[in-house]
Amino acid sequence: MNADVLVAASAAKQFRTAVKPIWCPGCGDFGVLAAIERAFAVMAMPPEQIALISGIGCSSRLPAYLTPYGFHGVHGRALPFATGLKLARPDLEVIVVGGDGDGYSIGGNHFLHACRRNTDITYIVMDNRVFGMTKGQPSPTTEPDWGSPMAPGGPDMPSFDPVAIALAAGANFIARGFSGDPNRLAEMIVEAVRWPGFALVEVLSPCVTFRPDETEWKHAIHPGAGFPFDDRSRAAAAAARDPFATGIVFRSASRPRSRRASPVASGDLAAVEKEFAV
Amino acid sequence: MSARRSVAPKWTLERFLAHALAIEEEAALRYRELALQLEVHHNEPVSHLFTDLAAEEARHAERIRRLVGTRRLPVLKPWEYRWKEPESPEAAPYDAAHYRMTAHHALRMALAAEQRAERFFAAVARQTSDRKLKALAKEFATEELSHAASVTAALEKTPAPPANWAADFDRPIAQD
Repeated sequence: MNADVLVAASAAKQFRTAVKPIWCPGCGDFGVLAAIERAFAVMAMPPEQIALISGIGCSSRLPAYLTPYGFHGVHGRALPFATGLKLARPDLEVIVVGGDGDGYSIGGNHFLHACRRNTDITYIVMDNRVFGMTKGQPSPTTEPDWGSPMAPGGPDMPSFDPVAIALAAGANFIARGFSGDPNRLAEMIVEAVRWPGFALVEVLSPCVTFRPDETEWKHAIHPGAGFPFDDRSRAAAAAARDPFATGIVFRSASRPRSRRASPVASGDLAAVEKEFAV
Repeated sequence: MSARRSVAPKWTLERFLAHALAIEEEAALRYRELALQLEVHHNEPVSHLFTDLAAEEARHAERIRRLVGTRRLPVLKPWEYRWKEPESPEAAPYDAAHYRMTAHHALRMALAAEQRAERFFAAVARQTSDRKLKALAKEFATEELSHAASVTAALEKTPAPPANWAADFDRPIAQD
């Protein structure tokens, strides 16, 4: 057989480290890990050209399981680290991974401003609508009436809508995927990485331990009608109307706002020193 | 962005073999992953069963690789394969696993996987008018049926778990 025939799955596995994932069997994050590996295999990028940045939470463990550079940071602060890294090393493909609690609660403020700054990074959020690692507290995306021992009767407040907020805050590319469909999710990730500016890939990723009800999502997921939009209002209306519609929701034709060349990247440290001189 | 594709109506031998190889390789990889998942959660009996299933699928993949020989197969992106399901038919879905699952559950997963693969090959056999390809697809479908029969025989010897198999009086905790 010719040597260049690489079956998708085995090519993708070249990005896997020897570290064993400790997620619960059945967790949606396994599907997201598979999708990211497959996307890397398709992009045929050497691992040393990719940096995976994360915060804290079950899904934030992901960088340990893949061979590119990884940085397991502090809770909610993955985006500021990633922004700094991208400005200093624009040659790297910077990809942020994490969960809904990390990204939309503790890191919610950073999320807004990362969308607004539109730095050329990709943010993959594994949204299971619960704080899984700390035993099942409601997260910003939890439904108002989802009751649990940690929040009897439910949080009783409107859910955070990541797609609508990313659209309003200025993200250049927004997709909604599903962990149970790793191949289609891989396609979204490839497009997100290649699209200039800040790209959000919001992934519905069930928590089988604290939200077993989410195993039913696979029956509700379907491709979004009319996706992708290039108009923010129409994209927001379509995504809000159907929270289980998946695909690329929005792609902006505009250039990202932050594309300034970094003096650090040029290696000119004297220029950096001069800039910060008081 | 691709929408879900059905089985392609036009097949070449090379495209078909690329799909057949992906089916067996992805099945083997998935069983290896499931074996690791269950090992991490100290469910050794099911972990060992998944390891055995992975070895079996790897043997099937090797057989197809020998059949491919020096033929050049198309290199397909993951979303370019013509699966009816989200993933290749013989890859057990991630969400079917559970840390307290039993051998019975694992064998049921394996049976469903073999049956999906059989349906895939039978569909190709129906769709193609190429006589050689039709014969090969039929042969693969028959093989999958025999694998399904072996799994069924193993299932018959494996008791079904009690209704409360998932009950855990020592509730899950973070793994740190």
